[in-house]
Amino acid sequence: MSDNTFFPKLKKLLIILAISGALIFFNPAGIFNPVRSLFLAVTSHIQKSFSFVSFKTNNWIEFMTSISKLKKENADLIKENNKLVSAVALLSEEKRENEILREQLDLLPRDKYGLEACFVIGQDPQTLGSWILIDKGRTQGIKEDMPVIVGEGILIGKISEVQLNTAKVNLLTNSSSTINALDLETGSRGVVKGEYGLGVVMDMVAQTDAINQGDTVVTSGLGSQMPKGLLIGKIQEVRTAGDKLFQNALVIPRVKYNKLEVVFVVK
Amino acid sequence: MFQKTSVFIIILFLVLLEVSFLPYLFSDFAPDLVLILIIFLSAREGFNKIWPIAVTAGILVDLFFFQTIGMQVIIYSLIAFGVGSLAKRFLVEHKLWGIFTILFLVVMGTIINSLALDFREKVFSGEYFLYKSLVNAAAFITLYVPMRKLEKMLGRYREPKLIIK
Repeated sequence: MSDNTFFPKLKKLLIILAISGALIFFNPAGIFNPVRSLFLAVTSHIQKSFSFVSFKTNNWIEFMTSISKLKKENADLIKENNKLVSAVALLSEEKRENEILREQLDLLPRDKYGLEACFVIGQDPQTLGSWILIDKGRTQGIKEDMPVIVGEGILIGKISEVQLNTAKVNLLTNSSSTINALDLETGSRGVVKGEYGLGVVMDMVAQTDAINQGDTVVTSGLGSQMPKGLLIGKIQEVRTAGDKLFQNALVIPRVKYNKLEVVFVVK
Repeated sequence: MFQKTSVFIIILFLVLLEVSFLPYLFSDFAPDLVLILIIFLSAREGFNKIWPIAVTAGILVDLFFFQTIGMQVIIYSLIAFGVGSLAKRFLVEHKLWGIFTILFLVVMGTIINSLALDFREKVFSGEYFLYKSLVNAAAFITLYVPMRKLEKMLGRYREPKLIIK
């Protein structure tokens, strides 16, 4: 190798690797948090503008690509509307049943949550479904482990890190996410875990307990600040193995995490 | 000083785009703009000139992506070193050949970056590597002209000015 600058370059690289390695190895919890907090505080408004423009651009692109389908969709919607009118009558009866069931299961009424509305201003670009960034933080009373929901009580994750004006939400699909859960139809209990941004699994369900495809999974309210009765998703597939102590089930979350614009933190 | 500040602002802007803008448009396969910039500059300028940019970019990505500080610094430094060393041997003055060489390095860098993340998270598939490489290659072609301008700007501020008396 005739390149006489190779070894000085290699020396530089090794020094960088050694310093970075030491930073990773000795990384005491929170040593860089003030720096991260400062950067996030300074850039949170820019991030908010970027995500707003991005949402609007995405909506516009989706609208433009859907124009050709609109006529057919309109005809389909008229048909669907007629069906829905009759379905509403049935649902009002089911709503009453649902209220009775919630009362029996001691679930908190959904309008009783103290909610803080937040805009999603960022998300993990490397492993989607891992975390999102919201525009409220310590200043607005957000604390770690607070549940984060959308719509009428659909759980999407919980607060994992709080900065001054922003907070990181670990989504249900995050590999480090674990939440105590309950099968609403059968009452079986388990733990809902994320599968590396890919999906959600209800695990640790005793072999003697019943869990069925299509069952609704909600939070059980055991431990931490998680209220009882927040919707997690529906069971898509039950995985049982005779030689194991527990059975588990693949749960399909109700929302697409990469389309979230507004979420609510349960305080 | 002006050059350093400009580079810092450009990298910060790219990191913010990666976190807050691109994921909503590209869903699962958002392009790695910072990685592309580092590969381009390493190929053109070599590791010796680019390592401070690679380190700064790594720290910013670690901060905004909520990673342990140092993770991305290591990945970017290794990529910058590898690309710098390879580019010196393969890059010749012929313009088209040069672009294709950097394009190849972008694809390789994307795979190395994704593999390094996969080692930590174990989430990616072969399909992911393929799509991510294609998206990054397309992003490189789109950003080629702006990156050349940036390169010229860096060169302009690095060269000593000619003083005519």
